Amino acid sequence: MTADRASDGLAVRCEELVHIYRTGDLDVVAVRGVDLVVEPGEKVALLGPSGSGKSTLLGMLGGLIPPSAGQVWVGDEEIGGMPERALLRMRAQRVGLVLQGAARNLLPYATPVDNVRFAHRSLPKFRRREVMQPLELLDALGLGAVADTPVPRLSGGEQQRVALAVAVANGPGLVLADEPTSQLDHPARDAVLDLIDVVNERFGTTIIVVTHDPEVGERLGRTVTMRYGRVGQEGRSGEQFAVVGKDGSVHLPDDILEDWLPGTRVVVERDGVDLRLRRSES
Amino acid sequence: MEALRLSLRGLRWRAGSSLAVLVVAVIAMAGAALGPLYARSASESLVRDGLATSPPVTTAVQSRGNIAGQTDFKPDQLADAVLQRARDPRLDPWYGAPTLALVVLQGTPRIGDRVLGQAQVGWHEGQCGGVTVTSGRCPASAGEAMVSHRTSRDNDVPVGTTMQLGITSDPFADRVTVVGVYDAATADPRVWGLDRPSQFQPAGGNGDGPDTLDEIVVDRGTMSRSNGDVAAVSVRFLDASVVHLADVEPLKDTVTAVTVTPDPTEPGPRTLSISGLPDYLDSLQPQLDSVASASFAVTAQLVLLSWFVLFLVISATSEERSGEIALAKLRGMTPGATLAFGLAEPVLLLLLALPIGFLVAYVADRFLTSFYLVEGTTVSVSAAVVVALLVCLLGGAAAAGLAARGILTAPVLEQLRRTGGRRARLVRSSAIDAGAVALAAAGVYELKKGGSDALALIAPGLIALAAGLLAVRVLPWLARIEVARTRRAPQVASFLASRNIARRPSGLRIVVLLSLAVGLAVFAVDGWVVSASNRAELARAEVGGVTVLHVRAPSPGALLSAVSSVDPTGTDAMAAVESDNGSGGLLAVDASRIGSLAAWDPTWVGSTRTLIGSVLHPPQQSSPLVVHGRLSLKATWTPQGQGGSPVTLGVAVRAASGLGTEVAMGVLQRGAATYTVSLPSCVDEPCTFTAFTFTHPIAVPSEKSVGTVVLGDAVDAAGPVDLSSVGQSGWRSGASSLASPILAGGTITSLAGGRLTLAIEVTHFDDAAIEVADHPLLLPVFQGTNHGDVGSSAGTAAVDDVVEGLDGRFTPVQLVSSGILPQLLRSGTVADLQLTVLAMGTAPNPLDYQVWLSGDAPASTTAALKAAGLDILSTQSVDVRTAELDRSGTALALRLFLLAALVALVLGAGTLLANSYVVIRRRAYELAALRALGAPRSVLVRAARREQVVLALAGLLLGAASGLGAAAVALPPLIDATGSGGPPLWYGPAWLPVVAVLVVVLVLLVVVSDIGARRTVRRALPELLRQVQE
Repeated sequence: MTADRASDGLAVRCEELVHIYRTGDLDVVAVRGVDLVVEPGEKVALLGPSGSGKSTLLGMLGGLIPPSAGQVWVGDEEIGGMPERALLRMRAQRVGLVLQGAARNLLPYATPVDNVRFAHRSLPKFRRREVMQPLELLDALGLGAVADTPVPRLSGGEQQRVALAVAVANGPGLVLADEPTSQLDHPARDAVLDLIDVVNERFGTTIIVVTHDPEVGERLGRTVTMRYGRVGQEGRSGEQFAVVGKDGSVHLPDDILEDWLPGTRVVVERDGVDLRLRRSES
Repeated sequence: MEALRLSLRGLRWRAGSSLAVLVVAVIAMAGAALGPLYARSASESLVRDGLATSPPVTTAVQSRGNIAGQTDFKPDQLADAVLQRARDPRLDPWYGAPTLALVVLQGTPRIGDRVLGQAQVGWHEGQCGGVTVTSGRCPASAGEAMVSHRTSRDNDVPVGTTMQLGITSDPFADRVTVVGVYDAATADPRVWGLDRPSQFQPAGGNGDGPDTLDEIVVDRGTMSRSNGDVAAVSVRFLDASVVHLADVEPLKDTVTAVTVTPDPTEPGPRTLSISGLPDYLDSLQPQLDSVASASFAVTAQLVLLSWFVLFLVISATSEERSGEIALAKLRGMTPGATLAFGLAEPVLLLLLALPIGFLVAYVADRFLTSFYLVEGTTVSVSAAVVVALLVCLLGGAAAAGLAARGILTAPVLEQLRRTGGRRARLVRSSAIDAGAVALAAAGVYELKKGGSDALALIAPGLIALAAGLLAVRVLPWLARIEVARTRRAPQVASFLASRNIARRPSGLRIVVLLSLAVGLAVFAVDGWVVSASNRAELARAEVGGVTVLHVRAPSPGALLSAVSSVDPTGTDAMAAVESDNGSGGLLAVDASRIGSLAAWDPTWVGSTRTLIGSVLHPPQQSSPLVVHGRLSLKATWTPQGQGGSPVTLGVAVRAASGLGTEVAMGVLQRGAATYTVSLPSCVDEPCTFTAFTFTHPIAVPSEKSVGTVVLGDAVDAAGPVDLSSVGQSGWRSGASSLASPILAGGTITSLAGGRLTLAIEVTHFDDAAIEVADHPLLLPVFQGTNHGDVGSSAGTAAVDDVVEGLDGRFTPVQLVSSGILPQLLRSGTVADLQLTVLAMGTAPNPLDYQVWLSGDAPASTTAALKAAGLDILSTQSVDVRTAELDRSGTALALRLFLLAALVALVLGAGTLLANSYVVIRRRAYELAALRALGAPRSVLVRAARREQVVLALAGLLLGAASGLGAAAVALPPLIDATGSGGPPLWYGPAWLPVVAVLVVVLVLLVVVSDIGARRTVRRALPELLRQVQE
């Protein structure tokens, strides 16, 4: 995103992505073999219960958490083995991040304009002139009215939108947002989602959002549901798909799991190119 | 500019913690600057005080020349040459205008054939305005003179008298008419220079030789035409008020250059300049070194403390800002930009603290200077101040850098979650711990062996630092034990407190700080109290009485009488006489009063206030026997056998002035005869009868004379003298009070009817004598420890020593004990004044007559003493002497330590408070979680308070132990160096003040801990947790 034209969205590709962390004497696999492709300019919601690994996946996409195995491609670059300086450069110019809790994304003693300027500090000086200036950006995103209001005086929804504005301040091709609508009422949530749409449509930015809220997923168009560190389900345009894992595993939809309890034996039958599942009678 | 504005907003956003950090940084900077600032002021004060209180003879520059050896020149030519030398312009910045005098030191004034004595005759420029003329007028032309009131009165020289001065061989030039009488006490030193016209001294010895009269003042014309040994003298007085520390070296160099011995081949009269100033300034150097050393030690330790404090608060500030700094990394800022953003606020505070800290130090130094240092002492900034401030600033920046290092390397998400456990472990550097312990050990070793290098000087701080660092290692272990103990117990607060201490080593840094601060404070307070006590004791010993008046008195007897008349009860005033007898001096005191009113402590000689009177003046067998004008008596001499050589009967008496006289009454005639002797010194006032002596002629070998003598029918000018009035025990064999004491002698066989019957034996080697037992045969005395321990004969009648008495003659004494004497300290002898006069007599040697006043003496006592005829020459007091000692180099140095203690304590408490402000947000999240889990607020407050108090208490105890340990090692050499020669030294510890300081600090820390705990828990609202949910 520059002052005169929208930026190009960045594609994202994960191949057998794994992250293991250690807590006490235990190794915990937070993300286990995730394969995921996000097209440039796409809006994707990462859904899943707490502990399913979606925030960890987001952290790996933003270069904040190093993968234990597998590859992460952002645009044309594989960032899994990138040195810290290159990751900083990436976050400065190509990837914008919105972490959970709007206040944590903003300097609390500054105004939205100051926060955008603060984000500009990570750009080389010549680039600062090329990107949209703080007021221009905030106006463009419908935040001009609160541009000079100190952050603590903004409502939760306004803070969240300002956080999003700061994330796109340097014209990134990818925006990663962790729970941008949590703790917001519906109007505020919708305002944030509207802003996501604006950013996506106006700048062509690829947007990946972590959320618990299925309605948010529906608004974004594509949903990727994670369970136990894996991509278990995808949805596009309201239609849900189970995703076959590398090891052949398939996550069944929740409504089926209500009937088929864990341990239920299933017969898998081929029907041409399709498969049919049937509960075993024996 | 944008960045600066943002940083300022950040500082304002965190106003509480920013202010706390600023205050601590200001105190740290002020502490660092105050050491060298005060040291410089103290050094200047030392110099100014020394110069102001030194006698002019030490500091003045005296130029002089004598006619002797260069008689080609006239006195006026000599005067011009001397004045030219004295007017050396190099001296002008510090010295006043030169005086000029022409004097002949030993004139022999006489009126007709009557020689008045010997006297200095002189002319002094400006003399007529420099002395009060009590009658007549000032000499205005050649041939006129002026004499002192005393000379006029005692030597019968009224105005109008014509006299010969005896300064030249020319009778015409020598003859003057007395035109005026002056008051010698009013002579202005600016006119008289180093001389005083009051020069009277009676004839010495046994009255041989002339008296020395006060100066005879003449007109310049009289001196100009003298062909005697005229000396031209010019004096320039130092104006101590214009001398500052920076002047010391130039002043010394200038005076040294001016006083170089001139080339004898130079034309014109030979003159030279002399001054004791360079040597005096050199003698000040050890004291200046002492202040400089202390300054270094204090500054180094305060800077060390400041570094630590800055590290502590800046680390805490940086950790508090970890969320914001993580945001910078989240936005992809380069490490440099992140570092700049992270350090901007603390560095801004440091830069702001620098001038404020300096200003605070400057004002504090001005305050201290005006209160404790000599008036006129300046406060100026030396290079050391700038260095200390810069070192402090760099230390703060380094601390910020160290803190930033952790911030830059920490993972962003961890920083955002405000979990800093792993970073804190960076603080615990084994290398630093080991280094500090090794340095402390080396410092202690240096101190033990008496070293005074930098390491030894900062040893107290190093010891406290090492103790604190070791505690940081040990405390978590102890806390873990407590955690295990309290885990299943109902003591939730204890569990939480110990858990926090065990898992959060960064919090333990406060222990190091407190240990250092309290250690310095304890060391300084202990050192100050101990040294102040030693100085006070030294002052008590040096002065003797609470106040001591040095007076002019005719004789010891007159002094005793005057003091008794003013204070008959003996509670306020005491007479004392000191003689500089060349072997440490003899101080004769009124033993009956010294116990009750001396500031000096009799226990220093092993006695008590109650006993000392009777020890020095035991009850005597007799009261004095007096005799008037002449003595006539009948002696019946019955020799055994041939009778041996002729025996001369002598009588010894002592005049009221104390002057002893021994006169022969005649050679004893076999059978009865009357002997008569005139006693002129007993005409005006009766004399004390001392002894009868029986001697052989000295010149020829003699044969032993043995026989019986009956003495009786004694008559003096007032009538019959009853020799039996003192009783038989009132007489004893021997006579110790004679010029040549006779310790054996006649045996008193009977005393009845006014007749004294004696058996005597006189040989060529041993005379015989009997004396009135109005004083001990051997005078009981205390002697200084330099005389050695108590003699083997203590308590017996054997002679321990011979002491030169007030009259310059040696007398056997009995040593009661040795110790620290009043005024004389470790040398000399102390005896009872009355017995000293009876036993040893006095002579018109220059004696220092004193009146000691008690602390309760009414203000009117001084006036009463003057009214009783005692001229007060000068006054000494324990308070003044203590104040002088308090301005000595070591005292000023220790005051510097005291100052450091104050700064250290303020820093410690301030940092503890600042720390609680700074960490409050970080801790609030944890406590908020505990509150969300249902922990009662009161329990959390208790837990937080307990944690803080445990840390504070640990720091306090460690600091106290290390401070006392450092004092035990470091103080003795310091105290030995300054207090030796005085009373027994006390090395401490001064428990009461130290405990008082610790209690105050403890209360302060508990209050601060409580405030911090309450504030933290108050902010720990469960709502905070929403920000940290994942």
